[in-house]
Amino acid sequence: MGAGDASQVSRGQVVVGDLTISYMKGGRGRPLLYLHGLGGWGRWDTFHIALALTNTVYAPQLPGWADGRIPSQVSSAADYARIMIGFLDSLGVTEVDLAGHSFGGWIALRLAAENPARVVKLVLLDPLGVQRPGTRAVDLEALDQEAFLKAAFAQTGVVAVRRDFGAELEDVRSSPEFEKQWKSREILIRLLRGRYGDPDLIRIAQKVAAQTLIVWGREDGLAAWRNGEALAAAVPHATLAVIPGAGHSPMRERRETVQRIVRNFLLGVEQDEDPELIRRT
Amino acid sequence: MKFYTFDELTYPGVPAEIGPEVRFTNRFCDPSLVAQTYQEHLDEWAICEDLGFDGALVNEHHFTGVNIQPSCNITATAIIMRTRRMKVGVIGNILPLRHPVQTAEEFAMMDCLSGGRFIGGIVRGVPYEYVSYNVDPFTSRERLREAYDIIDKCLHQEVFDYDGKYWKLTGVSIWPRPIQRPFPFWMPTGSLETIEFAAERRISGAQVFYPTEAFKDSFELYRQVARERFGWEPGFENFVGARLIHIAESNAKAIEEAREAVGYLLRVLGRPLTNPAPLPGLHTDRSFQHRKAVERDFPGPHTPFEQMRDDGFIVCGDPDYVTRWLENDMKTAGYGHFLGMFHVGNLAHEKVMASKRLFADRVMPFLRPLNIDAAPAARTAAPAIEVRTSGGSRPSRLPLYRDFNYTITRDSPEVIDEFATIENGKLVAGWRMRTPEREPGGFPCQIIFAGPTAEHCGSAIRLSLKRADGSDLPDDASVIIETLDERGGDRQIVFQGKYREFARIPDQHALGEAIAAQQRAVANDRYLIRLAVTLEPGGSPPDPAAADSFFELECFKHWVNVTA
Repeated sequence: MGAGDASQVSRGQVVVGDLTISYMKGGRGRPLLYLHGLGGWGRWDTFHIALALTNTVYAPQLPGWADGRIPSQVSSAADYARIMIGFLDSLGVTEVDLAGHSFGGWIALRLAAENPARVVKLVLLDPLGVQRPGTRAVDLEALDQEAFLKAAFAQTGVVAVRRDFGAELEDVRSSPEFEKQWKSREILIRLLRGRYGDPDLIRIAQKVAAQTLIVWGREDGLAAWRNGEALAAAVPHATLAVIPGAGHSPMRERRETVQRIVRNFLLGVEQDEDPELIRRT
Repeated sequence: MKFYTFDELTYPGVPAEIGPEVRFTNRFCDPSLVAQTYQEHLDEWAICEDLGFDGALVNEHHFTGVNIQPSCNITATAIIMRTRRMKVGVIGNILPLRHPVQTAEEFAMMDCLSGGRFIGGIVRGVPYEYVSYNVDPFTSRERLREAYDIIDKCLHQEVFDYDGKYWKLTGVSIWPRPIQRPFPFWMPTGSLETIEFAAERRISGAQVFYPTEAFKDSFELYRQVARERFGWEPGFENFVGARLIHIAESNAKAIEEAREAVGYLLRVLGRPLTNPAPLPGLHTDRSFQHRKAVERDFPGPHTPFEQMRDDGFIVCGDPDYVTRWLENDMKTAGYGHFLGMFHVGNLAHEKVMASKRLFADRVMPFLRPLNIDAAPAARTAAPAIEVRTSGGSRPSRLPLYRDFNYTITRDSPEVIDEFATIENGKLVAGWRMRTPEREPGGFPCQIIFAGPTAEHCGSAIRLSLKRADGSDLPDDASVIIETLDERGGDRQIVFQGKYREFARIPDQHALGEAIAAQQRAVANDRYLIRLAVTLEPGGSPPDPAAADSFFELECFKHWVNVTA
């Protein structure tokens, strides 16, 4: 719909079991569940607006993320996936488009594989947890701030971030986004307790019935884009778009390119020609 | 160099302290202050003509105190009425949010109202307008493209249909037409895609607010794109630079006055209604790759005033400083039209007037000789379409009449009979037709054969009549097509000539090849239409019923509604 719909965000809460889940909601159209990752939570951001132009977006806060206190009933992406099904049930949403980034992508993949009838379209952006045979997942705990910066961001110096009027210079290392992702890393470390990848995930992904778009930053040092290739081969109806010049959060570092690819996929229209992207279908 | 006054028309009465918790609506707008502000601005524009400016431009924004002319066409009209000589323009109508036909109509009106002084500027709009009008920003460029296409056709074509994604139109023919053809368009050209769009269509490119190097980056890319991709060389006259400007007798005074005014402007600018995060979709990741320092385009919350002054976001100082600053800007960036935004923020009316007078007296004369094109880049008119017809006694280059809605053939219900007789010792053969019966409501029908005018030939006539043995008629057989009333009176001749005129056309259905009616004829209620071919006796008789015999009379058929 329009930028007015996509910019009006409301906040609500639902109770799932004994958990209270806060969420943001905005936009107009078919429901889309957006599961955040290291970043992309707490504030209605540009990427939410982009999704809300094509869909009604529900963006829940993963329980435990705001305060760092992980609920006892949660110890894996699979647990979160079950909670998110409860979240959809509480809202009365049966069929949904599903988008997940980073850890949220891991949850989304499990949700779509275990509930294939409920997910119409699936978008995965640099999902964690995908582990090709013979490889090891990146050990988040072993990364200090410098290493984490280089792994998560393709552009690590001073970057120009476009606003509505002009652009502002931002030092990535001292930006609010880095702080947010670093904090999320700590939550993940406590949650996952060393199990940063699931060797079964690629096999489980074969059960996904939804049309799937996988977007991956080529410079992602937290999750290698080659895992996306393996994932695209496993998921029955999948397309992979690898974005040069982008790290773990490609919707921030190649904002317009990623938003357009996701939007065209959700609308079911042809993708623009872009010789820079690697595509696998 | 040409000089214009350009005005955002900012509401001057926004209170100093409004917390972020307050929804900034028109509760803060005092309409009587608006009325007073409008009058002051009108005086500030009108004086520019006396001061020797070349023109005045205004723009529009919506839902904001920063610009209270959401229809800049209205303010432009007010300026038109107060001036006689200056150009007056807008920069501009927000195409993705407006109906393009209405924009074209208003452009044409303002052009006629001003006696051909109007400049039609178009823009894409800024993010908060997409929020307020609830338009999908990802569709912005598509809408712009379609809207411009439609406006261009409205202003330059007689009539057209348009089957677009956002607008579907039929039979558009705007009144009035503009005086100026080709029509002058301007638009801001910052992003790569807009530069390509404008260069392709020869729309002059404008830049506002940004530093000199940014102007230069954009205009140089425009020149490169125009030259390498579209084969034309822009001149200075194709580039427009706009800046906030304030002049006083001393640098210190100008800085002090401007600092306050700019502070007000930026404060009001920062309060659109709702926009939680930067809006996606208006640009691509490539849009500014030609720019070296895009973060210096627009002041941020921490940009010191001195940097804004150095960068030219606000050119302020004594006349000497302003002259030198602008001279460097004009020579470096290479534009031929300067738009001075003299009424900065809530600057007092008297200060604006004084600033303009100082500009006219002590800045303009020194800058006027700059950036003049040796010979203006001429826009070649498209060659007229020529269609050859072989109608009537004189060969014509005009196309056949196009707005017919009916064709009478030998199979039409209007045909009464075919005939082949001997009259006065000659063989006469052909067809008789009658205008259709009245409608059940009693409305009579007319069959109108269009005659030739300055723009077109008459209705098309096609004919082929064979003899009974299959051979052709002689070239000198006479052909007459006429209409008559039921008593044989009111005889109007549609066509009179020789059969050879039809026979020599290889394909009467090819474009423009048919014979044309020679004059206008109207077959009214119960009229007869007669097509007759006359030839000397001898040989096989002409046979209208033969399979190869045919005729077609293109015409305009309509039922006349005679009720008062």
